[in-house]
Amino acid sequence: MKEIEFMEKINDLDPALLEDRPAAGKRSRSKLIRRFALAAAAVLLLAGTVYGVAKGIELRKTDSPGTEEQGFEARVQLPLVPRSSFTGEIRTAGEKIAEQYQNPVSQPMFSSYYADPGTYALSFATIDEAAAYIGLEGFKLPTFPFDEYDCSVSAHGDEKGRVDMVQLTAERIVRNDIGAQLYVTILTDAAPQSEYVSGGVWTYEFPRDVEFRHYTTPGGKDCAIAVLKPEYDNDYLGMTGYMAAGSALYELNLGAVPQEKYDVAMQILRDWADALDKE
Amino acid sequence: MDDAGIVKLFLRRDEAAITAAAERYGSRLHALARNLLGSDADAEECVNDAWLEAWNRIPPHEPGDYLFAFLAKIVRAKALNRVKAMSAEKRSAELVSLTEELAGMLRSADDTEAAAEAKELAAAVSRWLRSVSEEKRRVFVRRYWYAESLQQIADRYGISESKVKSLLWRARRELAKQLEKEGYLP
Repeated sequence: MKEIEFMEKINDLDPALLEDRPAAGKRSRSKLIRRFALAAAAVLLLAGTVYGVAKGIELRKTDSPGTEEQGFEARVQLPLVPRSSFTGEIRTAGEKIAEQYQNPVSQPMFSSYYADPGTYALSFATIDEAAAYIGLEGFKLPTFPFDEYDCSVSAHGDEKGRVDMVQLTAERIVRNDIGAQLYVTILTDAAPQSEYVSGGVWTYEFPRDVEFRHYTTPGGKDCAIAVLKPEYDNDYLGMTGYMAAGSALYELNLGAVPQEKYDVAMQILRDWADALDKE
Repeated sequence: MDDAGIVKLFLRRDEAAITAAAERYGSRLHALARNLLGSDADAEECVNDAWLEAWNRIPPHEPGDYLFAFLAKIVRAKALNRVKAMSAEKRSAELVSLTEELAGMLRSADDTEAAAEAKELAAAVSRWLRSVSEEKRRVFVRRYWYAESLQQIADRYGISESKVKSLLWRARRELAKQLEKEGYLP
């Protein structure tokens, strides 16, 4: 069985990557209840209005009472965008997702861009084309700080074809250089909650050296930045910038950043934030 | 007892090493084996086999700070061997679902150029994991190394199952491109 073979072959992953801790069900359950309440309140506030503007990215260190777990997370309140606001071809994604649930066929990832029921995705040559596929008025076009990238849009939904999340992604795949992934997340009015949690890291190993920084664009917009210092004896940093703009959360992750390239990576994040603010 | 203390017991050939390691990591190793095998009885046998192998490998091996990873790799390898020996019907539905997600991740069904290639592939996947966001890395490792269910991962990180799926989908796609670039895929 070929897939088992893949799992066997990755048995010897770098042990530093195999962080271990037990499940934290108790913690997440209470969080989910709280989020559901928040979501209900947000839906009430939004009822009868045009969808609002994402704001208030909060980066914070967290701990889990009763456990040794600590970590950090990025939270943002996203407006729940009415599905009727999408005017691009993505409007048909819900039907495709419902079909996936009705005919669950294993989809090899190279013959299709979805592997599980619930996700329908397409690739695009440029971010502009991807944005046109989404077709959302007022959508701020993100920039990507490298010339070559792969771009896709994915819609996520349930068995009834209700799309609750749309994500645009651009990514730079490299070897021996800074890797980058851009994510733009939009929640729809089918989402169970308006609070979106990203960048969550929970581990026994904190307080790992994580640094939160804020950069303010010339236009006065906040870009929250999390810098994760090397966890083990490698030399790499992980740096992610978060910005709320329009009705979406924009994230630019820079991975495998050598420590001596910290300033370069920070400038990449600042330039990206400035460009997004100008759009 | 901490890892260093347990490793010292192993190195001194003190059988208390097994008891100490089992107290510290036994339940997590059992959970890993059960994720793959779908049965507590099989998982228990698998973990017991792993203690014997650990005993035989330390010394000369010294796992240092990575005792859990060292033990988990042994358990995982043994569990996967058992999975291969099982008939398709006996494999757990969760494992079947998980492995189907990985279709296309290797060049061909005959691609068994054995140990050297496996080592290179693991190194390539490790490199890629270091280049992605922390969140994606942890979710990927939980799914494809620890064989946890989508629900377990969602609970663990306090995120929705839909988000777990999204992260995994993107992770598979990015990894496939990386492997393609490095010559592991056509």
